[in-house]
Amino acid sequence: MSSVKKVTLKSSDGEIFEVEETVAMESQTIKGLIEDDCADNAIPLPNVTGHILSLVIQYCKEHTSSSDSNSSKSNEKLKAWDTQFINVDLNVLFDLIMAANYLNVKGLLDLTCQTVADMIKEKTPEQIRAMFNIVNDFTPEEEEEVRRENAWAFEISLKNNNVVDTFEVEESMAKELQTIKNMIEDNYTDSVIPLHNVTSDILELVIEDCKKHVEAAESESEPSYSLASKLIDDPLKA
Amino acid sequence: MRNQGSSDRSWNNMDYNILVKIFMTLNFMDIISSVSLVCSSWRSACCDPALWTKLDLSTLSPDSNDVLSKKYTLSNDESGILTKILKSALNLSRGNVTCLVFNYFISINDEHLVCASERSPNLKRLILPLNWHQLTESGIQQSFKMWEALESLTVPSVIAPFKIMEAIGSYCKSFSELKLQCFFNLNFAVPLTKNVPKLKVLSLRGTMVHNQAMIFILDNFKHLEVLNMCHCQMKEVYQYEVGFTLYREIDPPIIEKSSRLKKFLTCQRDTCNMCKWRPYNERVLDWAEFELKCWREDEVSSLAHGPENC
Repeated sequence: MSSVKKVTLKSSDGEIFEVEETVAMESQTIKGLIEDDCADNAIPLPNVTGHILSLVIQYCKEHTSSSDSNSSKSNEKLKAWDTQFINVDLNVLFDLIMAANYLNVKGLLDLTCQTVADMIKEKTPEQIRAMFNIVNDFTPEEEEEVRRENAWAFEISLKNNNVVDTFEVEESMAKELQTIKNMIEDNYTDSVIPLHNVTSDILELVIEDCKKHVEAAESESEPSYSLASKLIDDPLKA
Repeated sequence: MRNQGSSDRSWNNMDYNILVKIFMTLNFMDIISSVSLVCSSWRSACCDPALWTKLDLSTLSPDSNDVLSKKYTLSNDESGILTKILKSALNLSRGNVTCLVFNYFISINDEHLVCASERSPNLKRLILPLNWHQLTESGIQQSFKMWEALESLTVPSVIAPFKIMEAIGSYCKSFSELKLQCFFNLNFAVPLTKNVPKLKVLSLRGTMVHNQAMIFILDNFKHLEVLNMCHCQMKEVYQYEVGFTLYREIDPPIIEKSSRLKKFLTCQRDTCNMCKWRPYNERVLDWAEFELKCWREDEVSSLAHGPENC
């Protein structure tokens, strides 16, 4: 029985891992070091913590054994394992992406990137920012370009999304609300104005209040706008 | 598979290449309406050419067979949305789109085509929708003038695209691949050979084809290399009589002349899955089936355009 060749990996926080060479070579980076004969002592990995490294090793172990011709692991089972494996919190996911990139483990990088893509799908910019802790850092020029080109696109997603409560209101009344007045004057919208962080019941109260402030006489030719309420933010609000 | 809570890592500083990798699996609507609005670095990654080689508007079709998100639907141009989508997507693409696929069921007019052409100067491949008949000659001229690099065109609809081929003849000197679904007769074939004499690849799959037009094509397209006549319905018109015959087997003279081609694709009616259930003299594919069976697929791989290829 030939002895299995092992390599030693050392994480940024000093943890030592002894790993079979075949498993370690799932990482193209480590593979290169081994082939260049630089792997006699422990391989230091200053960019990867012990916790993350142990996860990466787990992944590599699972995926090495499955390419073994003796293994009975089907693609389906492996996919299920991957799904379970990648069910981690966002910080770990971020670190895994970094590690997979640094260590050049293609399968893991594909898996983690796909996971992030699935989380981004069908989310608004504000939801994405909240989830990924991103600050809106557009320059005023960029913001202008973005607002000009993309505001309409956000509305499409609004219309196609879950049911919204729409309120038909007269223009003069809607203008009581300074925010909406600005939007109307900027030709912001076609006919549906999405409202930021306003639920239906609150909006109803606000509209009632505005009605009291508007003069009784209203011309018939006034355009009316629908106010769509939902818990979705202005795409450009930080 | 829901990852809980939010993160305190700096996702906006993530490596540019990784951001591009993540965005590549997203539908372009997610990119133009959401992802590109998040922050400056993400927007920058959204402009990477790798994301924009192909702009496939057919993913907006409610009838689409695509696996991609069915969240967005666009069966007709509601309040100018198509123009807005074209502008946004093509502006983000920074002129890098090389393949543009229109939604099969949509109608386009001059505004759409010109808007697209102004923003895609590197376009090599164009797949038009079923209804392009609102295009005027001037709109067509203006658009194809911008598409000097155009190599491949797919035109659905039973109406022959005379004006389009004229414009291509004038402006698109690299043009070499054409896929048609109109009735292919001499009336169209003759000017076609004048407009695009260097044509290399022609697919007429599933269409009705005038046998004399085929002979003319084979005699006059000197550079023709690939011809697809799978599932075609042949038509012979009697010269001095009012009448015609429809048949399926391709005439021997055509077969003989096609022997010089690199690839001549035909099917055997009795064994072909698409043809064998049809009554003998009936057009192989009726209208409604075109979208699924003809428009996306093609035995010539460069003319197929499923989501996985371009």
